[in-house]
Amino acid sequence: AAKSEFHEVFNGLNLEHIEDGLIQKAFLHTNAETKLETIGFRVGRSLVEKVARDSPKLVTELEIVKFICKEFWVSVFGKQVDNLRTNHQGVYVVQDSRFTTLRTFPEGTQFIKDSAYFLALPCGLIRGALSALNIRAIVTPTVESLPATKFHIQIQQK
Amino acid sequence: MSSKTKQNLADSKKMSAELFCLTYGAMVTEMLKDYEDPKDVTIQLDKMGFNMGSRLADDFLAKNANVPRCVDTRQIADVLCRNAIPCYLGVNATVTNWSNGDRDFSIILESNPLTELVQVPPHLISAGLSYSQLIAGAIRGALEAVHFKVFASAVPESSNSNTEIRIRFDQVLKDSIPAGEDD
Repeated sequence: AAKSEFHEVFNGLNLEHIEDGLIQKAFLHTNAETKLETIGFRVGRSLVEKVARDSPKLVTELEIVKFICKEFWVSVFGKQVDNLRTNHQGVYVVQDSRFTTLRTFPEGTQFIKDSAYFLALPCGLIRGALSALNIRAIVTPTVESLPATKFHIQIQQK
Repeated sequence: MSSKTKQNLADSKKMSAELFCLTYGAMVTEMLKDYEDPKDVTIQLDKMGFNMGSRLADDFLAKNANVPRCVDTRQIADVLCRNAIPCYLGVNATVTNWSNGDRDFSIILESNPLTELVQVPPHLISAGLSYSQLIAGAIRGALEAVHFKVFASAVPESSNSNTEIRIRFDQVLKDSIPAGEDD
């Protein structure tokens, strides 16, 4: 409701060319995807403590990411990732050819747009888990053909 | 062996109980922020449960072909406790506290997967939040899908860890047949 009101005010100001981007930015914190991501982050943070309790100490960044892809992925998404690649400069690409939350989708490219909502929570989970293991990262999903998913993990340097 | 069990987890459409519990908790927390009044959250949880239940009923009947047609509340309670709840929640349940001429009864969940890692603050309970109302709503939805109208509510968590769901049987819903069509 507030969004449409805002829209009206903006229309009155005759600023069509910038309004859409601005409005989106102004309401970013209340959009559903962001909320789901936040929920995922909280859950990921606390869940990784349970998963990592009995594991040996994780030192390097690669070890932590590997841990996420093996143990954490199994306990949360039910299977291991299919492929993990890195450029050794803080970018990791995790590939899962049958991702849990997309498994009920029909295969193909038809519903890629709708799948974004179903990937926001898992992205948050991964980001939360990494954050609890002392890595700040940006996690973004890409889908080319359902249910295969790629997650890009971009480590933020401290 | 271990790879086999992992495979099973992926294929059997089950999810980790911890993940479920924490996600549910985070969702309720988010709803508490959104709605301000805990009572509204309870209502929403009930609605969500209802929608889940009315879909689960189909799934349940498809999986359990040998469940007999229920003719009284005792049978309903029996099927709920013996088949439905273990199947979907993975815990055992018992029926107690019959009253009002077999119209009211309680289902006690031996453990509640929703509250495993959760402590609901007392002030929210007293403000009307019923944390496990989702389950009660699901029972209501499932029974409505098979034409039993019931009222179900999760009794707010008491000191013991068991969760009680109070169910009151209201009426058997009749199929509404469009005018001019006889059965």
